[in-house]
Amino acid sequence: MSSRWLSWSQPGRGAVGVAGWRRVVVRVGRQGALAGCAAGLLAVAWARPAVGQRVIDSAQFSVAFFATLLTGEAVIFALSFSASSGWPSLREIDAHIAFREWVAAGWVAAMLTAAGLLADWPVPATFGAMLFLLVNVFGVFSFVRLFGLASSGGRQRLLSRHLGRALAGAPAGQPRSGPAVGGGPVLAAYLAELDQAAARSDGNGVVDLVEQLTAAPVEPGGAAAALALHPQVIHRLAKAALVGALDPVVAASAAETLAGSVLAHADTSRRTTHPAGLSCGQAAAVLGQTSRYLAWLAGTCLVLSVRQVTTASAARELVALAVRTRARILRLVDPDPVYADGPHDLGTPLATPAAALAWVRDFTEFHGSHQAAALYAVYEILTGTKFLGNYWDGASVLTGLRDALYGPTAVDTPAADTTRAAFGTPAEFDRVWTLVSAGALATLRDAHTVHPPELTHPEFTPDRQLLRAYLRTFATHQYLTTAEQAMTALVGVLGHTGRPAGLWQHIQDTPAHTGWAPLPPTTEPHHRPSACVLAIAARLAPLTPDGPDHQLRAFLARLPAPVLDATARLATRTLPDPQPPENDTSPAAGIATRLRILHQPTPAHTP
Amino acid sequence: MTSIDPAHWRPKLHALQHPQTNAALIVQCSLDWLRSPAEELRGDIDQAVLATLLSRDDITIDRLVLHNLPNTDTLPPAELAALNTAHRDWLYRLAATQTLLPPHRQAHIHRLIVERGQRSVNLTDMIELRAGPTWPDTEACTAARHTLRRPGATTPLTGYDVDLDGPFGDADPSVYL
Repeated sequence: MSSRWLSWSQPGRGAVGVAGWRRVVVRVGRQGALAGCAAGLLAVAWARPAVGQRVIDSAQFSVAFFATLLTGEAVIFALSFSASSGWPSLREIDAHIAFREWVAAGWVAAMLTAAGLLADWPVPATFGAMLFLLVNVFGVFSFVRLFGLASSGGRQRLLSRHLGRALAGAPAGQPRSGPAVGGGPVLAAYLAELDQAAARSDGNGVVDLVEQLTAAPVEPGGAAAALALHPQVIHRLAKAALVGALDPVVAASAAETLAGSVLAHADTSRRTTHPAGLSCGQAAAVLGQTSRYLAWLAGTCLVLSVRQVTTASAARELVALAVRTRARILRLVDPDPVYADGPHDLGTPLATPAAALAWVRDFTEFHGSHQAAALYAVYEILTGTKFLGNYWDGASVLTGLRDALYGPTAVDTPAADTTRAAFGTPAEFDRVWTLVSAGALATLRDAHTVHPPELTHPEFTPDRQLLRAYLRTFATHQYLTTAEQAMTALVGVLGHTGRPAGLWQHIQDTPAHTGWAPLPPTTEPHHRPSACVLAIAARLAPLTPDGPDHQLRAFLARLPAPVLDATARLATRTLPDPQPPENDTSPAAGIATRLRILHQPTPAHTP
Repeated sequence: MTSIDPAHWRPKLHALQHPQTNAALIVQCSLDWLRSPAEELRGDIDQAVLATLLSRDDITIDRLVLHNLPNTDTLPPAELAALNTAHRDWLYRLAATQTLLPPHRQAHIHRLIVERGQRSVNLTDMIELRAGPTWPDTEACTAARHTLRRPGATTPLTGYDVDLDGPFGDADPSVYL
């Protein structure tokens, strides 16, 4: 299994953390109580040593009971746990039931009793016999604790607590890709157990493991590591369902549980009093990367299904999961969602322009579902007002947003003021949205892939009208009118880094807030030159059948052949073939004619 | 702090657009160009050069930048990593924008090869414009031109390594599985 995006830095020897210290205190307290009681018994033995036969009789009963308890524990162990199991490990079980303390105390008691009787030392013999009584009391405690573990619920609670402690001790580090699973042996054991359960198609085991993670107590400081583990587990489950033996229904259900947990974590950024609350940037990173991953997963399911690498049922379940969960994410981000259930549904975890834009950048990649609707939420976050147009009917959210921020009727709200300050200039507004659209256009699905009917969903469909609506959300942001302006804009997109510490840099830095390397890896727009060209070209393309396209063609004519060829390859892959076919087969003509999808007739039905 | 003075560079950038300017020589080999304070000016220089080349085909622009960083063993690792990242990103952007221009309009970007252990380069950052047939007779300009002529001192930056299509995973997302 790939572990490229689990990347906690290994906690150092001193990085025990609050949970670790609490655990040490509990254990030391237990040992201290045992030692204190033993000291009391020693004082009694010293003051009132017993004679030999009484000691022997007492020790015989104690040893018999000790042996009974030991046998009982062995039976429970044999029935409940595997010696080779790493989850829970024997070490962890021992820490929970204090097995070693119990056996060690029994050994001391036996030695003292035997030595006392042999050498006729009444004090050690008496102390040993009394210590045996204490050991048996301690043994009952251990037995009860072990019996608690033998039940499914008890073991779940233990493992969940154990996982929570491990996560609290595994601070998220800088993203890096590497083969090793970070986070120490506990998290590695957890993931290994998950892989084994998935490989043997043990649905109950998978569900138990997922519940342990979602129920793990999130200690302050452990939220980042917990969130890093969630997508890792989702990915392993999806992979096991796609190319392994795991039941896709189980995988999708478990992944949805995990996604719900991720959303609940992200929602904590709204509540500053939450002890493990995320910052706005962290929420944007988590929600963005989860959205992006799900869009990628849906696209990958389609590809693998068409290639018959995976079963139709696995692809169908995971595509449905992706579409459903992305809709939930959008609902969480939307400050005023449709069908709000109450005040708790209002507001957004992404309260800053950088957070909203970083999220929508991720949300629109890989042909993600509901991406056009997502711009409504962004509009409201950035302006504090609602966009009232209908994108399906051709209304441009981005043009509306630009007008609301910089037009003659610009809105005067605190949110709009913050957004204007963040962008700095209208030119930067245009550049940022062009960069966002480059990522979206580069990762559109192959328009020539035959979409199996069982994978079709309202927002995951080969329907040209939907593709047109997605494209128009960006193409209608027509801030360019001439080929020369387009060329200048293209140079700015590819060659300019933006203002130091400017908005785009904040957007670029946002994914690092999670502390894990995202999957699929993030690609900056300037590393997608052909998509940048297409993003500019789409903004020059006519939006009506009778609109002139001479500026678009003039822009394309200025580009060197290698750039034009690469852009034509992208357009050929992502945009449907023109109808009727174009006689001119040049790359520039291919791009221009494929962009005619932007003004295909609007259907009579308006959702 | 940086030794780069925007007040010296900006008038020259403006003069770059003058019709009588027929050649320009720009040297940016200081590490300060890779630090945040100079980022804005560096971007403006790149934009001005590209704007000139987009609008004119009768000007020759030579740029001299670092191929690799000088010996920086005195720098903290984090700062060195930031410098390397900035340098890599800058050269990528220069190469990527080269691909947008036809060959006859492209700037000649020379990467100065710094030898192992060399702690600094013996060139002064500058922008020099030529209006007539000859270059200004300044020590910095002469040294830079001498470096450009010296075989093996530099290596050209081209757009050859720029993947115009973007990552393969864009076309086939399943490669990330």
